[in-house]
Amino acid sequence: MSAALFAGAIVDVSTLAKAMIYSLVAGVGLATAFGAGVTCAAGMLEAVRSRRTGLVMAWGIAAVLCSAIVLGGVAAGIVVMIKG
Amino acid sequence: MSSDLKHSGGQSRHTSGLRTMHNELLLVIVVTAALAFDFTNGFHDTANVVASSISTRALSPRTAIALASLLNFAGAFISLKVAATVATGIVDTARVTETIAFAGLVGAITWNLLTWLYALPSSSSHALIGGVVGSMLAAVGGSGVHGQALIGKVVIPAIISPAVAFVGAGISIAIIYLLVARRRPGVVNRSFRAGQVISGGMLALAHGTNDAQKTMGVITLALVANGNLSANHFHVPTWVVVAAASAIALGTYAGGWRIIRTLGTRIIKMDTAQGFAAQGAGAAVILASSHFGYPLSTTHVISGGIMGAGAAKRLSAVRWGVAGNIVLAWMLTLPAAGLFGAGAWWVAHVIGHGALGPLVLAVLALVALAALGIVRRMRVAELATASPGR
Repeated sequence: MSAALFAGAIVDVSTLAKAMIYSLVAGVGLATAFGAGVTCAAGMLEAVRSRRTGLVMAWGIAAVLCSAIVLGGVAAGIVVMIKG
Repeated sequence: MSSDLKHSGGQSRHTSGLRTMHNELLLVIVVTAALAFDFTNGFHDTANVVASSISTRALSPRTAIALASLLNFAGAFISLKVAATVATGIVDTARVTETIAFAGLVGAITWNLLTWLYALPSSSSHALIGGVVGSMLAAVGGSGVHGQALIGKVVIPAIISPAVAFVGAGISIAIIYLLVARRRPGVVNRSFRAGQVISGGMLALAHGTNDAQKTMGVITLALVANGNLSANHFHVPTWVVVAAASAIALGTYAGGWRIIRTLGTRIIKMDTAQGFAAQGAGAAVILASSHFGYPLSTTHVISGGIMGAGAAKRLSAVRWGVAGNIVLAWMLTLPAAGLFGAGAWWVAHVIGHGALGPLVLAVLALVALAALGIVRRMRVAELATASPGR
């Protein structure tokens, strides 16, 4: 307990917590979006094989959206870092 | 009388000119040592950055290394917050001399070379900070080091960051496996192989951002000590950014060719999704920490990500012995590099003032480097003789 209090007194807990939360949100969020994109793309390919046009469109749009989230997230991260 | 004054003025100008020449020589020695350290940092860390992309065949070795070098170079231009922490946050900038900065670098390089010789996993970043703190303690005493900042900005983030990468990679791979569980493995593998181009690229960018800035910080300290920059107004000159970026990129490229030869023997077996999750989590931790100015060990963060991705699939897949070695090396690096930094400052101080001490120390360091190289070659030859089949 006293060690935790000591650490809390010398560490900027708010900044450290922000760094941890941003890391987890960015890392897990983008990996999830990419994983969802992969499953949508795979679903689209299966729909193409079974010739179900509606499903192909739905999976395709979802895959494009997921890709846009991943690429947009990466670009946004770099822009935030450059702007400081 | 007038002739005496003229003579004394001439002597003063001569002494001042000699001092300026000594200082400039000292600055050149410090900058060269810092860039050499940056090069070895890139050389050491190439394996961490490209290993998973190559082992999962997401990229060919040649492409992976070229891309990593390029993105390491680009990464160095993204932020200067870590450089600010190293230059102004850990030691009292106004009391740093070029000899202190140089001794810190010698301490860090010595520890890096020793750990390389004995194949211990070590962090170049912690070695650099430990070396500078050690030489500062030896030269100025405890008042020259910002102890609270050292713990708050270096030690605690160093403990937390690999754990965050471990958890991030573990959660990511668990979600990914849930999402793709019913899909054809071939399609999934191909997709994550493509994804690794993005995650591997981000990791290389993150590595360049955090690691190159540490060298920029030390060069900035030397420039402040030499009077080229003000201690009150933090600023990293563009040439320092370009030089540090080039050194780490060249080191990454040079290190890469060694990796190609040892490929398949040291790399952990991972599937493409695990590689993607590990690289993504590592890159996110390093980039977010760089944004807040935390100088991390990129080696430890990447190791944490790889272990997290492995542990989420199967706990026994992780080499826990390696994890133990990493923790041990982490605990030893700061104090050991600090001791070497303090020793280097003491040697330079005993030899003489001005550029003489560091110059002799640089020569001694080069001789020691050559000796280490010979010892290493002899060990490799001994191993080859003992097990000719391997």
